Amino acid sequence: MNTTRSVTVDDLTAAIAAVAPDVAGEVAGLDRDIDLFEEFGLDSMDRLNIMTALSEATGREISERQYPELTSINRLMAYLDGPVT
Amino acid sequence: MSQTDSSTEFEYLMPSLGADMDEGSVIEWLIGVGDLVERGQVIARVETEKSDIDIEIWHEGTVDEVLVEPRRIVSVGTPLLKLHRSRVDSHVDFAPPVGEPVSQRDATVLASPLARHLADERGVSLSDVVGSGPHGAVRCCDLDRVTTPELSTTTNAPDGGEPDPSSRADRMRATIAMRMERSSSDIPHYRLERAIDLGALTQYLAERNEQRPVAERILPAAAFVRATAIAAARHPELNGTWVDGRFVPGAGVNVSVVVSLRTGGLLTPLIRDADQYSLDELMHQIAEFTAAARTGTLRSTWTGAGSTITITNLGDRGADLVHGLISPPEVALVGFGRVVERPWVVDRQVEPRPIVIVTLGADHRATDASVGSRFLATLARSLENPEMS
Repeated sequence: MNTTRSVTVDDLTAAIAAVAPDVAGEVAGLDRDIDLFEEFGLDSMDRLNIMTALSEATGREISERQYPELTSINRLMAYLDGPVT
Repeated sequence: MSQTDSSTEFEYLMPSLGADMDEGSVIEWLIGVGDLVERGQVIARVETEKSDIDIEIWHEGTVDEVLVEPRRIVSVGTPLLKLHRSRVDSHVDFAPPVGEPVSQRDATVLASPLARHLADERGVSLSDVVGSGPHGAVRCCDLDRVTTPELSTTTNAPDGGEPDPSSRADRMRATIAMRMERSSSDIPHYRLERAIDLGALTQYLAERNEQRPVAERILPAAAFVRATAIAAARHPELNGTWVDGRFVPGAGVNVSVVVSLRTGGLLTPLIRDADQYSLDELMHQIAEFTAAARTGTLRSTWTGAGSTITITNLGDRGADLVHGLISPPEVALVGFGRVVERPWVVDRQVEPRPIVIVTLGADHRATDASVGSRFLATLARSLENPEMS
C-alpha cells in the first residue's frame, strides 16, 4: 500500500530536529562519514525516535540488528537505498 | 439550545504545573473565542519559572471569553478562560474556587467514597474528572484517566518571540539546586546497589524487536520502568512520601522518570499507575515524553503532583552507575547505569554478559536496608525473567 522512497538529508534533519533541535541545523553541513550519534551525543532513546521517523518518511523497515552499522549519513543513505537528493 | 444556561458555564483556571509553581503566564493562546475545545486538547503554552508547558483542557466546551492576555503573569488558580458546555451535565462541578482544600470544593461532586479518598490522596480535584458512574458520579477507575496539571517543564525550542532561554536555564538550575539542597540536608539516605545480568532480557527484546516495525520496538529503558514499578507495588514501604514526620503510602505507583536535557537541566515526566501498563505501553510513553521534554513540547499529561518514586536512567551514554538524590518528599530513587558487557559467572563458567548496575537510594527514616535489599531482589527477578512481565 505504502510506496517506499529513498532517504534524504532533509528527512534526517527533520528526524533529528524532533529530538535535538539545537543541532538539527548542523546536519546538512556534517561530514557524511562521521558517527552522527556520537557527534551530537544522541542516546538510544533519541535513536529509536530518529529511526522511527526515517522509517515512516521512507516507508522502509530498518532492522534493529543493523543499528550498530547505521551511524553516519552515508551509511544510513546506503542502507535506505538512496541517492543523495 | 440557543441560550447558554448558567449551570453549563465554567472557567478554566491557571493550572499548577509543579509543586513549586505559584504563578505563570500564557505565552500563546492556541484557541480563540467561539472555538469548540475537546477534552485533552492543548489550548495554550504557558511559561513557568522552570520552562514552557503546553496545557490541556479536560472538559469539552465552547470558548466565550479569553480573560488573560498573553505574557501577563498570574497566580495559579486565576481564571484564564470562560467557556460553556453545549451538553447539559449538571453533576460535574466545574471551576472549583481556588484556595479551598480539594475535598471541600469537591463536596458537591457525585463520587464514590473510594474515588473521593483516592482523589484526595492524589491531589486531584474531583471536579476535573468526568465520571462514568450513575448520574455522572466519579468512580475510582475514572481517576486513572485523569492527569492533574502539575510539575515539570522544558527549555523551549526558539520559535519566535520566545523568552530568554538563558534565564530559563538559570531558573531551572535554581529549582534543581533548591530541591537537591533540600534532599541532601533533610533526607538521611542509605544506598544499595545490585548488578543484574540482562542476558535474558537483551535476547528477549532482540527477538521480539526483530519481528516488529521500528515504531513498536522496545528498549531496555521500558523494562527498567516496568521492573521498578512492579517492585514498588510489591514493596509499598518504598512507594510514597515522607510528610510531617511519617511515611504516607502512595495511592498507586506513580513513577517519575528523569530526562536530561541537551542544554543542561532535568525534567521529570510522570507515569501514573506505571505498574498497570504493558511494556509496549510504557515504551510508547517513554519515547514520546523523552522527545517532548528534549524539544520543549512536554504536555501537562506527563506533569503534575503525586509522584511516589523516581527513576534515573543514565542510558547508553552514561556512567556505569549512579547514586542519585531522592526527590523530596519521596522516599526512594532507583538509578540505572549503562548496560556493559562484563565477565560474569554462569553455571561455573565465566561468560561475557550484559550487566547493569542498579542502585537504590532510600530514606532511612522510612525504611532500612533489609527492605531496600528485598526491593532490589524483586527488581532483579523481573529483569532476569523478562517473559514473566
